[in-house]
Amino acid sequence: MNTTGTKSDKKTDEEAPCIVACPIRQDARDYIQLIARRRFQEAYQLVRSRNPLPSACGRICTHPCETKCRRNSTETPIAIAWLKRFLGDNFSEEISKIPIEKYPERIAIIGAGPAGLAAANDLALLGYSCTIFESNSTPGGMLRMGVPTYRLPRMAIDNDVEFIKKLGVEIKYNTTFGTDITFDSLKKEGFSAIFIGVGLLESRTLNIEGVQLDGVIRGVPFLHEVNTTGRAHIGKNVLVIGGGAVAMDCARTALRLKPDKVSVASLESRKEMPTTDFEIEEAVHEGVILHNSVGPKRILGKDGRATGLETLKVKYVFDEQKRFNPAFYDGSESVIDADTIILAIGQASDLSFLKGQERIQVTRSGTLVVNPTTFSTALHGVYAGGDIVLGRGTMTEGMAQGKKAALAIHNALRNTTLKDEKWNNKTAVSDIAPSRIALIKKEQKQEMPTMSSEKRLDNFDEVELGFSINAAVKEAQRCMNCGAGAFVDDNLCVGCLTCVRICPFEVPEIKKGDTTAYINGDCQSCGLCVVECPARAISFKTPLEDQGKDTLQAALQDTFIQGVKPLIINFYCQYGAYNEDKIDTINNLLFFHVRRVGVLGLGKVDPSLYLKAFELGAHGVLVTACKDDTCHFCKEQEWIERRTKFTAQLLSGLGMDARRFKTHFISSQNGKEILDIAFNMIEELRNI
Amino acid sequence: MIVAASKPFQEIKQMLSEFRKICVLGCGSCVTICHTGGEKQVAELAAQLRLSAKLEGRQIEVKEDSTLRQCEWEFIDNIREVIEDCDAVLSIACGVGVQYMAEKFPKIRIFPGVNTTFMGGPTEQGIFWERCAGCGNCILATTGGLCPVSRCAKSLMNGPCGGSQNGRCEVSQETPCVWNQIYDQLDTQQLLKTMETIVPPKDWTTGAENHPRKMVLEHLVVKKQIN
Amino acid sequence: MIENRSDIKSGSNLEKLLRSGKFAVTAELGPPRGADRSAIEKKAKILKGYGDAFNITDCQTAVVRMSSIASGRIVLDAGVEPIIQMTCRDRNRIAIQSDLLGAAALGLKNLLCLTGDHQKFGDHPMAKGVFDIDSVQLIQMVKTLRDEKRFQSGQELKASEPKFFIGAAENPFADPFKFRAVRLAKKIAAGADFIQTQIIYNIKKFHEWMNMVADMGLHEKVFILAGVAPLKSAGMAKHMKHNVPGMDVPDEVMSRMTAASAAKKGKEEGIKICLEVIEQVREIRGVAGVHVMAVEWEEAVPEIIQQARLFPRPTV
Ligand SMILES: Cc1cc2nc3c(=O)[nH]c(=O)nc-3n(C[C@H](O)[C@H](O)[C@@H](O)COP(=O)(O)OP(=O)(O)OC[C@H]3O[C@@H](n4cnc5c(N)ncnc54)[C@H](O)[C@@H]3O)c2cc1C
Ligand SMILES: Cc1cc2nc3c(=O)[nH]c(=O)nc-3n(C[C@H](O)[C@H](O)[C@H](O)COP(=O)(O)OP(=O)(O)OC[C@H]3O[C@@H](n4cnc5c(N)ncnc54)[C@H](O)[C@@H]3O)c2cc1C
Ligand code: SF4
Ligand code: SF4
Ligand code: SF4
Ligand code: SF4
Repeated sequence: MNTTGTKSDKKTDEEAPCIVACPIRQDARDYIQLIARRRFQEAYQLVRSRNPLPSACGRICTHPCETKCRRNSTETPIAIAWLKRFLGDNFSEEISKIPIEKYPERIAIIGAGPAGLAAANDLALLGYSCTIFESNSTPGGMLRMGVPTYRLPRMAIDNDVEFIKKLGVEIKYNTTFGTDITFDSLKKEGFSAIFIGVGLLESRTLNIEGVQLDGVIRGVPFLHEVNTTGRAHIGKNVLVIGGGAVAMDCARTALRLKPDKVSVASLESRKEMPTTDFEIEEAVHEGVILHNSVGPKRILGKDGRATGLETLKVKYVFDEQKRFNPAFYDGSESVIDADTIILAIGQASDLSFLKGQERIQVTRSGTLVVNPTTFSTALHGVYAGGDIVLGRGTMTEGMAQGKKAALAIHNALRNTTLKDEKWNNKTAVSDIAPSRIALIKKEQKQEMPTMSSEKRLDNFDEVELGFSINAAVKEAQRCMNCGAGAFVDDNLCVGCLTCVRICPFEVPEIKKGDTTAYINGDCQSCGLCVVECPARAISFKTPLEDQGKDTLQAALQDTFIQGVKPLIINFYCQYGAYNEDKIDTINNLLFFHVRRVGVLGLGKVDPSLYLKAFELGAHGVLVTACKDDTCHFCKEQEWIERRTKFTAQLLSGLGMDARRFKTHFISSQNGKEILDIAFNMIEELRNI
Repeated sequence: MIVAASKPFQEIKQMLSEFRKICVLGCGSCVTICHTGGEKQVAELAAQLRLSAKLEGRQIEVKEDSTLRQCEWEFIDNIREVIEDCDAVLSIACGVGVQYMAEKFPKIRIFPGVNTTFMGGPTEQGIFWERCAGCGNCILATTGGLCPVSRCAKSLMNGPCGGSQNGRCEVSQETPCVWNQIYDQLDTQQLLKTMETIVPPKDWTTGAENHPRKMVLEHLVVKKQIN
Repeated sequence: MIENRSDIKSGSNLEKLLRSGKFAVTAELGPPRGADRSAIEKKAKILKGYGDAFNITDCQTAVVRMSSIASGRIVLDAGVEPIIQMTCRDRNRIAIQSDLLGAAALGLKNLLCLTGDHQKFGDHPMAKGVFDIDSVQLIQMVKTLRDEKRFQSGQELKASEPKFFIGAAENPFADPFKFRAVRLAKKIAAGADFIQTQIIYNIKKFHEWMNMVADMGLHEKVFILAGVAPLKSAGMAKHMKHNVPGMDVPDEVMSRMTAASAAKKGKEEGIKICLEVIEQVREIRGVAGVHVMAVEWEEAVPEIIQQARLFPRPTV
């Protein structure tokens, strides 16, 4: 599979916004396009080739890709993360060969969180021997300590980490940097470079009266305990202080421990809360009570135990310089009763491992200072990334820094300038032109099956259940293949204007002063112009689109077709194949006499390919396309009709029996109708 | 541009029936634009030839190639290797290109794959109309920019004839009467008076009736053999 | 009477009659699709006395027939005056001038100059149309031969000039309507002495056209013969309306013919309509005669001429 061969548009050097938005530049569009074509294994490999933690990422990534997805303009973004999860859950890659350790240098990595794991993964693939030192007894860092199991089952972490280990990465648990090992000991052991990815383990606390009372606990330790034991010591009335994602996780986790009541006190108003709407909605949906725009004044207690929180009404959270600097109304006190108060107000670093080490610089907020491109600290051979650098990061941001540091370490050790093209700054394909939105068919998002809310609170099992194959493919088929659609070769274009005139989405243009056509990022990849261009100047940028050619070749090279008579090639529209849950049955039923060549829209198929099928040995060709009312591209029927009529004429001119070439427009490519059509055709061909 | 129409496949098949190694050769200019001689058509014709041979149980090899303009010695020289490796070439360039090929490669049989039809352009996608007859003595200045030589069925100089009705030509309901158009155009330009003058018989010495015609640009002639 | 009208050009019977102010009658005589001389003689015999001159068509509707000039001479031999017709479809300016010199030498004096029906309509649609010149240019060329004794090229004739009474056709019903009178003026300026119009069924429109013609004073510069033709049946009327270029058959005529055809009285009604048309056009200022085109129905002409009280024909 050649997925790196996507032709770039030299005029604009654009990339799909989903890819640009991703901290690790995950090839979102391309794995989605592979899923849309049912090429799952390749899709998995593509994801894995850039992402060391696909299963975890597919569940808890904050998916900035979806925020930027151009489908936002037409209805809702593609469920990019859920599609990744679908791949991670259902596919895996056998590593046949452990990468050879090409180089003698050994690298030490501190912390088995996303940043450390990513650095180790990439360094191993580059040919280095890596050892991760982790103070916990399990890998995953905050993913394991903090992220609740109902959002991220631990199997997902384990699978991903297992894979990294297979690359030759060694993990030494229960080993704390600063106590068990030090800069000096590592140097002595012969490590040539160190990557520090220790994250932010300390939970911040409040400087108010009553924080020392019994029943006042910190968010992450609370989560950690529940995540590892399934239990925690809490009372009947729980109050979480904080309005971010951690607060939501704490509240929802607390709910599952069955207290009478769980509330959240947040400085921010509902709109200002520093987490996603989705998280807040899920929390409220599950029963959490929100108190917005209230700040903690003091924790009330009795007999050394917390009994509630006295709050003040918030004037503003951010001052005029937009800095976090909350102010309150005097005399606005009120009390929220609680016997357990969880502080979820942010994390801080534990830098004790730096003791005796003066060169590495530390910021005022306790993070490490690094070179922004190489991630090396001021101490030679020592690199850092992840939350310990970011302060408040996400798992993909952490992985991105780990990956970049890995490459920098390699370049430093080898004295090379190896580059990862994906980090190049590319502009994102701009939003769909407003006038074009109406021309693009709205395709509704696939719903994620979830556990019912009654059942959820009885356990810590995953709430989102994952896509079925059909749902995944349908969801993937919504993707507009941004930035990888049709492309005009200036050397071949003769400026005939055909593409300009026939594109249903009015994308191609010959700009004033130009002599050749130009197709911008709004191309929907219908392929009509690719087929009609008389100069064959238009091709797809993406190498994933073969317009049926390779599929046909492969189908007819299959040794099992030897002697099969009649042998029918069915060109069908893949968009129409996922509206019924029967695709596999159909394929099995049709298997003997009919080979199927699926294409995303038959408007991409050149009539010559139908001739080619006969040339390569087919006895019949059956074209089944969707009717206009179900056509993904809205109106391809007319074009397909013209081309098949034209082909039929050519074939009859060659003296071929008309029964050998049939075209049908049907509403589903996998229902009973297609079976009947195929079986009839088989019968007819038997009689010729 | 020059507009050419595809020849019926039966005719092409007949012409090429005795050859085993054939090159279908496109031309990257006018005929590409009118969708009958470009790379797409090359591929289509080649596929047809291969399939037709297969159906008849014949072994043939069909190559596909194209060049920017078959009516230039240098451009066809670029593909010499491909051409000289074949028994026959199906050129889907206009008649000019076919002849250049025939002159350049006297040992190879060159066949025309299109019928060169007229000089014109697409009035809408997929519809082409004749616009110029190459009379060599352009009169558009007096006819509102519309050519009666190529667009009037009878090449009238003092039209419209008595068959012009509802803006249509007597010869075909599909054809606009160009003289009616000329009348409207001159009317818009307030030049109807021009139509009152008798246009004398046209001097056809420069026209197709006096072929072969030749043009010499003295200032550009160099004494270098290009063929 | 303007100068052009009294100054005899050809000395033909038709010319003399018209110049003397008599209401003229001409009719069509189609040559056969074969080399049979008697066919023409037969038609001449039927028509003799019922018109002042008879038009011999030139491969009308682009169907091959005996040549107009040859047929014209046969007609003349039969004691009837012909009007030969010449189109631009089949001959270039060399052939046309050559043939016209021959026609004059054969004693033919009336000439109708036409562009010609397009070859597409005829029996040889694959033929190459010539159209070297058009009808206006043809008229001019004949006038130059006659009045300036020069060929179209400008060279002088070496012997005597062909003296033709020059005719042209005009269709009052073609478009653009406003241009039709102007085009007539162009033909007159080119040298037309008389005009035979397309067949008239729509009298109102013809009248309108004649008004324009008269307003421009053209009726005083040229003799206008109004074209008429008897319909045989509703089928023929329909054919005329839809298939004959430049023909205007009003709905009223259509319905009368339909009713009559149903009662098997098509021919009678056709002749009746024809007579009504003649009656009405005679009244129009500037109409100098009628031209009866009874295509392949020459027998109808005597009846029409008699009933129209245009018989017997005067002599000059
Ligand atoms: C648990 C967790 C889950 C995360 N999930 C996501 C996620 O789903 N999506 C994502 O984009 N990022 C997520 N992140 C990243 C996250 O923003 C930071 O990584 C994390 O360190 C801070 O968690 P937070 O969101 O609770 O903190 P912050 O965004 O710093 O929010 C802290 C909260 O505490 C409140 N607070 C702070 N100081 C005070 C005070 N003095 N008095 C009262 N209230 C105070 C703030 O107002 C705020 O509501 C997550 C991080 C964590 C730790
Ligand atoms: C409750 C919670 C929910 C979150 N939810 C999300 C979310 O939904 N989506 C998202 O993208 N991000 C989320 N985050 C943030 C995300 O987990 C972090 O950004 C990410 O894990 C940071 O990765 P890291 O490798 O830098 O550090 P960490 O994941 O914190 O890993 C650091 C590792 O280093 C180890 N370590 C620390 N000190 C030492 C030492 N001295 N010696 C040896 N080992 C050491 C730790 O034990 C740990 O295993 C969440 C965070 C929290 C707390
Ligand atoms: S439509 Fe597809 S390619 Fe475009 S931004 Fe969304 S996921 Fe990426
Ligand atoms: S159809 Fe092809 S040749 Fe024509 S303008 Fe478009 S890209 Fe250029
Ligand atoms: S592939 Fe389709 S959407 Fe893209 S430019 Fe061509 S015709 Fe338009
Ligand atoms: S109808 Fe118009 S276009 Fe046709 S022959 Fe007459 S003048 Fe020419």
